[in-house]
Amino acid sequence: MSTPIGQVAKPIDSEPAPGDVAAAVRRSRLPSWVVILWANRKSRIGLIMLGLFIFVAVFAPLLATHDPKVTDFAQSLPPGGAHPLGTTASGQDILSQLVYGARTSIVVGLVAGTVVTFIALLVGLTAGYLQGWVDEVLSFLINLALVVPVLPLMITIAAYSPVRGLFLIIFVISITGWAWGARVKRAQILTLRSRDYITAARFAGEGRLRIIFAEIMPNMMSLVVAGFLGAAAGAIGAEAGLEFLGLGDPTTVSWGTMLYWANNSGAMLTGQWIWLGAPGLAIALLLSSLTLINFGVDALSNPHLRER
Amino acid sequence: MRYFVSRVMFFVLTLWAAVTLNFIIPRLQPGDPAQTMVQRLAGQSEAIDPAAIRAVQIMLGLPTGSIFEQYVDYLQAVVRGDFGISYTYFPYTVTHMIAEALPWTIVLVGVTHVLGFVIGTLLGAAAAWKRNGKFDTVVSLGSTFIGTLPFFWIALILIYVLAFTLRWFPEAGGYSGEIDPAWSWAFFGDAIYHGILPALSLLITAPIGWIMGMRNNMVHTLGEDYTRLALAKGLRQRRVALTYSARVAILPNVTGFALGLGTILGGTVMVEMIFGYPGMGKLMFDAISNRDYPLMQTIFLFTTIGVLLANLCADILYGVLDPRVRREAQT
Amino acid sequence: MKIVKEVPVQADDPLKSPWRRRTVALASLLVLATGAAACQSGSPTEEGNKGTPKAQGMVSQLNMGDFGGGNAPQRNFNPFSPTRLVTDFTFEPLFVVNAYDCTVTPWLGTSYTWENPAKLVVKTRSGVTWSDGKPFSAKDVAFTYNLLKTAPALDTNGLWSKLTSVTAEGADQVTFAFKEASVPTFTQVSDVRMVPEHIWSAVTDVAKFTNNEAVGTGPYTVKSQNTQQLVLERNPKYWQADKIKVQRMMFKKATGGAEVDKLRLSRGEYDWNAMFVPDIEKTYVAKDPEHNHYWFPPGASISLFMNLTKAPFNDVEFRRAMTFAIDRDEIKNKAQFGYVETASQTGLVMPGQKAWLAPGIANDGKVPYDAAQAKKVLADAGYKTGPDGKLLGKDGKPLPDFSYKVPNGWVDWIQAAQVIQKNLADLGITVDVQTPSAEVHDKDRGIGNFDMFFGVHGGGCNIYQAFQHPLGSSQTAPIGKVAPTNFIRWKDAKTDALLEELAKAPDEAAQKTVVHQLEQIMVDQVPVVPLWYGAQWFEYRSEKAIGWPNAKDPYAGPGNQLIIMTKLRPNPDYRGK
Repeated sequence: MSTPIGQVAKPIDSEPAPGDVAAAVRRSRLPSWVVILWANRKSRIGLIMLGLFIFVAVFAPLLATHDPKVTDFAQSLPPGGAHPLGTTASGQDILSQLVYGARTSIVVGLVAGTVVTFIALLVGLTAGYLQGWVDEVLSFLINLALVVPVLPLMITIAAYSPVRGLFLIIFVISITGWAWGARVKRAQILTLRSRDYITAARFAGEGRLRIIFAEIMPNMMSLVVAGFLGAAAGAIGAEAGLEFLGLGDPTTVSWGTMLYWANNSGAMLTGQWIWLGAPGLAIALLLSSLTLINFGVDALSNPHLRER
Repeated sequence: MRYFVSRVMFFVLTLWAAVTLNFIIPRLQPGDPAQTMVQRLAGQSEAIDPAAIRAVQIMLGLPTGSIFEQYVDYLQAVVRGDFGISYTYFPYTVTHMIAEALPWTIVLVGVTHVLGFVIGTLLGAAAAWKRNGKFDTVVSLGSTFIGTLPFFWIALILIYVLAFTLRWFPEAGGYSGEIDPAWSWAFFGDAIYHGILPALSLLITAPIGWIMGMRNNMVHTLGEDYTRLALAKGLRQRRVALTYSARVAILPNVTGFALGLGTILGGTVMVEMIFGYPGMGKLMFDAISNRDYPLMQTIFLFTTIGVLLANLCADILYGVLDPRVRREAQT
Repeated sequence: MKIVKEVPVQADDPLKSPWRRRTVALASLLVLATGAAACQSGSPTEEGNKGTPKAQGMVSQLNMGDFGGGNAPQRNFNPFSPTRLVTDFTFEPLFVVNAYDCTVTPWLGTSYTWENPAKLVVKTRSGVTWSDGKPFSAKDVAFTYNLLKTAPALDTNGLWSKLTSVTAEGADQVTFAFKEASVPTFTQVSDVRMVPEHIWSAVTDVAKFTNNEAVGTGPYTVKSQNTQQLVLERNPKYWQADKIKVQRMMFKKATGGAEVDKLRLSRGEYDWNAMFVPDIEKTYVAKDPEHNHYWFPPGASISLFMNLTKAPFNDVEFRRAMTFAIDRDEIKNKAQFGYVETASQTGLVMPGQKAWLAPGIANDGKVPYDAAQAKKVLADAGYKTGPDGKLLGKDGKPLPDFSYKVPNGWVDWIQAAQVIQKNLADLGITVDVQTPSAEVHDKDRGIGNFDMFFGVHGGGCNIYQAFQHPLGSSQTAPIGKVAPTNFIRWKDAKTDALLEELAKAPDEAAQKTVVHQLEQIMVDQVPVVPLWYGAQWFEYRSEKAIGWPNAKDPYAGPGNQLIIMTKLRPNPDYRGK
């Protein structure tokens, strides 16, 4: 038996969505979250940008004019002609590297973002909801993971690891990146949990899992999705940072390694601005697309915020 | 009360675990500090006379005994506050090195962190309040893009444009060297002048996280019933924004701020490295690069304690700001 | 032992700046001294009319690069400490071995004789004073060497593993007694920097002594120091003060990392530096062609090292094929910016060490790239090619993929390995370039856990070590145990016998006969495949001072600071302050 208060406190169930969006959701065969995000202008721009990046990543072999690793061209060419963005100091085509670099970043963001979100959600939810000794133990783990400074830890692990490469970087990001999200989610649950409607649901005898997934999760959707987008963005940024520091495998093609090579081969001195600038801007644009999507995310669990 | 006691107990327990972790992590890694040190001198890839390595090992007084004995020694030393001698800066002690680096980082990051938090939270709250308005769009889109620029990249661009090309600022270092460090206005002026670019490259991106966090949280709380109820009751909008939405929405940001204070070091490693800023981040990176175990461990430890304390404060603050949490723990 | 006494750059931030790490040590052995005569003999006539410093014919200040001590340099002028700041202008050795032509210049020692291969007698200079005014004598010399005996941690060259005693006789003679024939150790013995007994005898823990006063015999004393800069001032009491024409040297910490340092260099902020710069003609010389100069003399050989305990590397014919298979010129131009020279198979540094080249070795021992010849050698030796184009071993099975280990982040080496990967692919050999961290690389190298990697050998003035380090059986160990320097596990009785003979050879003629035979082993047996010579970075500006060593006038190596300081003099055309 649900109390009226509890009913009122569940915005998604209780409030009808504004007409247009609701109608669109009904009309469309797409998942409702896509429609909701699409309805928001900013997240629509974000989705389009992200789509472009994914397109480039998937069709990189068709889009790139050259093999990004081949060093056969003249060195340090200025932009123009066969090399629209010029060549690197070791004679690689910069545009092709940029195109292939999208692959690396997308993969890192997707994989590391998913892993990080999954761990964070699992730990955060469990700790925040169950409380008691489970919370004590998990909070302890969260705190432990939080107190180890993340970037230095990443650098340490990556610097000392016997193997180098993308897998290591994804691994390092995943094991060091989850605690923050877990902490925030736990905190959110702590406040949600003390809401009356949850109390009511508990008194009504609803099972824990049901409360977590049916009552709490919908209210946390924006947090989870935002968490994923944040984690993916963080992972893409961290990957670039670690590669820039030379802690990745410099023979892989990614925006981070491009910056690493550009910086270490004196791109600024030889005046190759594009070599240094383009990967940085590409990273920024990809991360921007994720953040823009995030603007529509709050509408997922809060219908009042949906745009018409 | 129980809530606060349990937080303090956490603090102690986590401290112990972190101290132990600090002991373990450096030891899991390959690499012999003596060899690294000689290698640095000989030039990498040179073949090295084993006698030289032995000699340096003697000089460094490398840890001996079983791993357990080393652990006990380490714990005792930590309690005594004796962190040993730095390998890289032999014969100077770790404490000496940290004492020299710490003020730089505290000032640089303290200032940028607080500024970033304040600016970010205010902008975020304002953007959420006027959501989907012009202000929101400008702030959101602007910070979206700027916030995603890799900050090591920003740092490089700043160096090139403002320091190298325009020569408005020095391109590296914490002070010029012409003036010896001292409690003088000349030195402080020089240090501030040198600190502007590093601070700027941190400040450009620093508020972004807070803007986003605050905006999203506040947008969320604005949709809550109590806010709408308050508005329905006819309370003034500003009052609603500040006392209802903002107060709840700021909670995760407060946690974030406390933790952010602790991870100060991490965030600045790259900026300090690029600018050659004489702070903890640079010291730590050098320590890692040089397998300087004592220095590395101690910096880790300091950071860890910093985060722990910040964490404790956040928890206590949380309890104060959101009485429900405290009540929950008591039942 | 090649502890580099290079001035400015100490490899810091190995994670960050891949190029810095191997400012490869000392130059070649015995390059013909093309006369230490002045090439840039500027006329010293115009001295009278240009301000006070120049009135005395002085350069008022030279701007220098890094001064060591890591990124937060702490005061430490203990010349034996690995964490010391620049001490090479303050403390002097008995003899300066010219890193370029390997000639010996008397310094605090005036002459030396090997009374027998285990006994060295050195005459020391008289009339020298320490910078605090006290006289220098042979007693200080004996004290310095015995100091190292009491503080083994400072004996980084391991001198006392060979010495038995060092004693002063009178005020100007020192006798060194060795455990065994030790003629080749002269380069190490002569390298020790002298410290004053009247100060150091009171020091209890020499290893921890930071020697803040820095009292030495050298041309410069320490004026001031903080973490950003070090100022050295000309020592008016210097025993050859008349030759020192630079009043002050200002070292600036390279705090901003390699990139900022390159920018500063291109801006002309350094009069003397030693750093890697990409595309130097464009990024440095072109900014001021009249004054910005560089000279990158060849250093140690960088070679293909193979694991000789494995097939097919244990087959001399396979190794011989490798000498033809690799396109060294492509490595030179692609991976090394054309800054380096391709290496001679003899293990010598050519052309500098031409005098040591065995007669009958053509083309300086340099093997040209010839893929067809490589294929022919392999085919003749019984290696067939499989249907898929992969090379088969002698047993008819396809060769496995070979790993090529390069330390992570060593940009140019990785590119060089990729060239080799491509070259060997043409022969049907698959090479997998792996980039483990430097520590793992070094560990694997030591215990023999590798197929192929880049080894560095030779290049110094100690020709004994040039062969003994990579090839001496005393320097190796079984697979799984750490080998000090003979990583390839070369074990050859003839090599060992020749090395023993070389250690005893008292004069150059006797040494040459032995070295010729060692070269022959390199050429015939191909224990390693030298590819290119590591370059020594050296940039200088002739705006304020002239008389720098360069390709036309290689009177010293870039690391011979003491010699260079006695040659520098003001540029008469300089109108600045």
